[in-house]
Formats: sequence, structure tokens, C-alpha cells
Amino acid sequence: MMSYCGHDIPFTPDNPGVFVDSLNMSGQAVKVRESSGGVMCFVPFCCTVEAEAFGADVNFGDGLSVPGVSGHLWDSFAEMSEGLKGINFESGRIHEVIKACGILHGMGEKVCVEIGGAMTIFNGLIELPQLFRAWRKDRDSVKNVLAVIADELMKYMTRLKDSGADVLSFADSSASLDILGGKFSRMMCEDFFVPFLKRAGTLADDKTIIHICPRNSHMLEALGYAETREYFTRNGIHYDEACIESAGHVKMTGQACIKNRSLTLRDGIIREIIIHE
Amino acid sequence: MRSEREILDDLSRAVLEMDEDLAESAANEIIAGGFDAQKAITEGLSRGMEEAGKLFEEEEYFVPELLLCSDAMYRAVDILKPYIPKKDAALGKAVIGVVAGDTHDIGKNLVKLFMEAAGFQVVDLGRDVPVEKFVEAVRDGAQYVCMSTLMTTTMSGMSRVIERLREEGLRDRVKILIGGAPISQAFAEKIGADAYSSSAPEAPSVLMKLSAIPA
Repeated sequence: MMSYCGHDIPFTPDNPGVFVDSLNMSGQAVKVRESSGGVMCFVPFCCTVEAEAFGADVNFGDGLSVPGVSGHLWDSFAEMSEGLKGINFESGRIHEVIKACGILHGMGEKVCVEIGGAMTIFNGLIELPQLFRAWRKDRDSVKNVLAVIADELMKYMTRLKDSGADVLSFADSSASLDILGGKFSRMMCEDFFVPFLKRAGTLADDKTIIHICPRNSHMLEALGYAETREYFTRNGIHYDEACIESAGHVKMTGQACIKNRSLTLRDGIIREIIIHE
Repeated sequence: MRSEREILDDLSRAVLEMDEDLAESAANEIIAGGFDAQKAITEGLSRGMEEAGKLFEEEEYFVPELLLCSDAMYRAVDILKPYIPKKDAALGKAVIGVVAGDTHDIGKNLVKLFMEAAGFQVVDLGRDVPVEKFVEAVRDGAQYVCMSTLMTTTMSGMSRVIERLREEGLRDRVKILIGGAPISQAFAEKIGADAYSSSAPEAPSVLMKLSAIPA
């Protein structure tokens, strides 16, 4: 067993099924949803899926900790720029996540799929100082790589939506103002978050809502790249329920962690995030 | 030809301004001019890194800037190192690593940098380090163990290292410093670490206080 957000999930190093296989993944997601009393199932159970789909070597660990990457795929940003290719969505764990989403939807579950952002992906592919150096000296080269990542994430999110995802939960927790500081946060917003999230917003409709990690949404708002609009659901509603119920009225939100089941909105207000033009 | 002081100032400025090219040319000038390479590190590069650390504490610089400062510093250190007589680092030998299960090593790398700049000999075990590697390093003579983690899920790895050191009768040989985003003074006390550092720049002074080394 290993711990995942306060829940025990079955895992041994020689049986990493919950991370790699859609049936295992979806079955466990239902168990976690039932034991938490929440309204939706979360998949996947780690934040390395996207980096692995771009080529990172993932180590599932010893059961005491969550999966992480073993080493980095590229030694320099120039190598990464040349080597980064599109994702094959027809195989590998990313394919299993899409399948798990479909299985859960087919069972009548509400499904939230967590999608890692650019920094989370970079962290699995390259030493971050390489990124920061390139960003400082040759911003266009980083913009080009970020555009590839954005394109692939959009394809991924589109497939997840087509498989029945109710919440597409985007999170890039290390890309926050307190870690990156003003200068690099602005570059992250301008070169990735703003153009990517504008596109991601087009996936929202009356069944699907986009959720953004609050560390990212607060950064966007604090730096003036986004504003919020209030939408009333009902008093005392749990945050996860409010997100689901806001679909069709709110395209993107992110005022708290989507997994914070204990959070209730006394005023019932969901804040929609509107990215500035 | 420029004076030694002018070149030392350039080394300091190169680090502070994240200018690798200036760091490289100033380091080459130190060697070409026959100046003291050790002094170039302590009075040039380290001074720049200290300034960068102050700016970090004042929230003028953040993690990316510190990483770029360290890039500039190491560019010069690589040039100067062959000209420094081999000797044990004055403040003792420390082993540093990110505990098992965690691969986030930015903070660890910064702590290493500040400790080396302060005069510690630092053995870097890298990231996702198994418990036994820390234990072996203490057997090999490390006087300080520094562990970091960014994730709550891997915090318990720190207490496992301390338990294993106790089991092996090695705990009293070392001072143990821990740090990382989810770590706190209370957690350090709970697991029996000697100290907690809330930021990379303060790590060397925390260890120096523990061992009553004058700053």
C-alpha cells in the first residue's frame, strides 16, 4: 500500500498497476471517491504521465513515495529543442489515463483528470537551470518548446473531454510567483499560461469545466493577466460539487485545490477566471 | 593589466549579475595574472553569491536567479579549481542529498552552493537517495548530514535516515540539518534532527552555530 492524498492505494514496486493500467486506475479511483465521500473520481495517481509521454523515464518508487523521474532525458535546452516530439496518445500510460477516464464515465462517475503543466513536464525532461538560462538568453527558443507542449496538452485535453471528463484540472504547482519570482513568472504567463489557457477555455461547455491550480490562478490574477467574475451556486456547497455544478456557466475556475474535499463555500460563490486578451 | 581587486570585483559582479561570460573571462584573468585562485573564490565569487543570497532573502531574487548566479559561479570555479592546492575544506565534511522518492533538487543544489562558498567540503549524493547511502557517507567520515525534500509524501524518509544512523551507532557522530518546502522546525524536533533551515543561504550559518564555529 502507499499513501495518496490521505488514502491507501495498493502498490508494490513489482505491481504498479494503479499507475499503469486503466482498469486498475479506474477501479481504485472509485474506491478513493467512495472513501472520501467526494463527488468525483480523480485520475491519474501521479504527476509524471505527461513528462513520460514526452520521453521521461519514470521510476514508480518503493511504495513509500509517489512516482518520480529517474534522471533527465536531455542535457541541454538545445538538445531538448531539437529532440522534443509530439505525444503518441495510442499507447503508454497516457493512453491508459484516457481509457480510465472513459471507463469511469461509462460507469456514470463524474471524472476529474489532472493535467501537469510546462514546469512539471520540464522537471522530468531537463535540469531546470538549463531552462532558465535559455529563457534568459534566447526567449524565442523557449517559446517554441512551450508552443509544442501547449499543442500536445491541448490534444490530450481534447481526447479526455471526448472520453467524458467532467473536470480538466490543470496544475503546474512549481510555476508559482513565490518560486519563480516576478520576472520569470511574467515570462511563464506570457509564453505559456495565457496563450495555452485561452485555448483550453474553448474546451469548456455545459458538461466540462477547466480547473486551474490556485497557485497558478493566483499568479495570473496577481500579475494582471486575468480577472475573476463571481458565479453563485448555493450556500454551503462543497468546492468539488460547486465546480461540477458550474459547468456551462463558468469556463475556468481555480480558487482552491480541487482535491480539498473539506472545503465548503459558505457564500456558494465560484470565481470564474477570465484570461485577458 | 588590471589590478587583482578589479578582477575580484568583476568575479563578484559576474555572479550577482548572472553573467557566465564575465565569470569565465575574469577567472582566466586571475590565472593569467598569477593571482591567488583561492582568494578569487572567497573574495570574488563567494562575495557575489552572498550578495545574491541577500537579494533572495529580500525577495528581489528568486529561485531562477539563484540558479543562474550559481551557473556563473561554477563556470569560474571550474577554471580556478585546478590552481587551488588540495586541502580539506576548513569547516568540515558534509554530505547532502534529496531523500528517497523525491527528485526535486533545486533547493539541495542551492544549499550545496552556499555551503561550499562558506568553506564546507560537500559530498553531493544527488536526488532520490536511498537511506543506506547517507549511512555509508557517515561511515566514510561525514560530520554533517543535510537532507531535503519538496514533498510531504517523502518527508518520512528523513526520519528513516536518522533511525538507521541510530541503529548503526552513528547518530552521535554527526549533526543533521533538514530543509525543504514542507519541513518545519517542529518536524525537525519531532524526528530528532539537530536543526532546520528555512532557506538555502542560511544553511551554512545554521550548521556553524550548531558546531560553535565562529562566523
